Amino acid sequence: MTVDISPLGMILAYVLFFLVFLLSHINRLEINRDLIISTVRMSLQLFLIGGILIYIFELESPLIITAVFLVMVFFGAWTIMERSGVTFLPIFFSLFFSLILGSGFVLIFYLLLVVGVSPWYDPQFFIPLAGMIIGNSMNGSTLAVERFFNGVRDNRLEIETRATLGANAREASLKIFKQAYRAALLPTLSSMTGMGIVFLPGMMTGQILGGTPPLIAIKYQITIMLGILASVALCSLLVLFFERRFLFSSLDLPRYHLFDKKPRG
Amino acid sequence: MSLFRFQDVSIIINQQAILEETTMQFRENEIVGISGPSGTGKTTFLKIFNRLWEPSSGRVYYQDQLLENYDHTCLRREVILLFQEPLLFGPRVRDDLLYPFTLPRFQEKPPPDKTLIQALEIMELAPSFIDKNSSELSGGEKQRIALARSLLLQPRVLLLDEPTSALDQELTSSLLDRIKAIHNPSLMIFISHDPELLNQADVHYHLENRRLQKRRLLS
Repeated sequence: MTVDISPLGMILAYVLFFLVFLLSHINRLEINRDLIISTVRMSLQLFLIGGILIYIFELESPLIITAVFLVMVFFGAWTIMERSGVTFLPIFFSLFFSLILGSGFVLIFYLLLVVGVSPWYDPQFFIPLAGMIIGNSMNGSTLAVERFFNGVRDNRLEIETRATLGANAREASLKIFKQAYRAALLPTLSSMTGMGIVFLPGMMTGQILGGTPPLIAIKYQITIMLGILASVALCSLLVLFFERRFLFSSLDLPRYHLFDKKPRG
Repeated sequence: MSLFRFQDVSIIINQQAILEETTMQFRENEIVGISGPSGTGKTTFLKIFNRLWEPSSGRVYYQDQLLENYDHTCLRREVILLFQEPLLFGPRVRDDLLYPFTLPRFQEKPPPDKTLIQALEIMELAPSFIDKNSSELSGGEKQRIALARSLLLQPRVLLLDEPTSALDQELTSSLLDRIKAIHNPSLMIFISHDPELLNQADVHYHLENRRLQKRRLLS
């Protein structure tokens, strides 16, 4: 059973924020601006998405749900490109495509076969699960894209040394590819390792707060973690395949001009 | 017979010409030395031979066939370039020497330990080096192992970029003989500033002002 939060409760929650604000202000810790911006953004964005969700929940249309999925993936791909600093249009398209394929497959698989939701586009399931799967895949893919790009840029001698012994692009960059893939999976793997001991995962906590029996909540949590892992792995792998194709020429060498554009951190 | 033929080859990097319309050939059984001030593009010139770099214009022929007609990964095993900065992949020296044979596309049988040790010994490295950790070696040791790694592939053409930069005088003067003792390539082209090594070449070119000029040998 869900307990609603009263308007007074909402206001009291903001009292906590003012407490932090006052403490930082009195001690001249100069973080006021960030505190306000983050809190206002969080509040506005969530109210906005709340409104949109109410609307979408009422519509229950497969077309709208597909559109929502595509918009999420679009912004996901855009965010990966921005955050990784690998800003090339072909990379954006391959990111978009990889996320659709990777997270789309896992999402449909999870909804239809694992949970058995009917219809598949039931927004109550689709929206939150899509958010979790795409969000995690986005974080993983960002790490993969960035690591591979920097790895190829910083290991020119190694790639050329392997190439002169006959290695093709795949063989010459295998070590960098492995490191990038590993970096993509590591956050998910470490969160899986700490789950239940170090912290209780958000979805499970939410379900328990909402009145779901713990046994059902952990079944959801276990299965969604497996889904997230699969989606992160699939998306990162696809993204890395595309990125390697893009960064290497038909002569199996890095396309050096792509790396000269601007210095990266 | 000419093994490599350059026809009107120009090399331009970042809008800067390194070589201008050069026509020349490199014969079989030749040892070619190249000298020249640093920054004139000698390394890039060597990269043309196995397509690690493409000329801006002109044609390059290998055994009277256009270089583009060869599969570039096969070509690179036949025309090997050894970089000035030797890079070992590790973890152990044996893995390094065998790396080229682990690429599955070529299906070449890896040489036995005996051959590896022989090559090490010719390079004045004790047999125990085979099990050493590649990352714990000195610059000169790495350079000799990288050289042995290339030679075990029995390349037809060997391109060497300052191969003696980390070697002592004794090894420098005997380097070419040591290379031939492991495997004798049909053509060897090396970049060097060392007069003694340059003197061992059959032909000596000097790269300066976008031209490769033949130098008379000192001896």
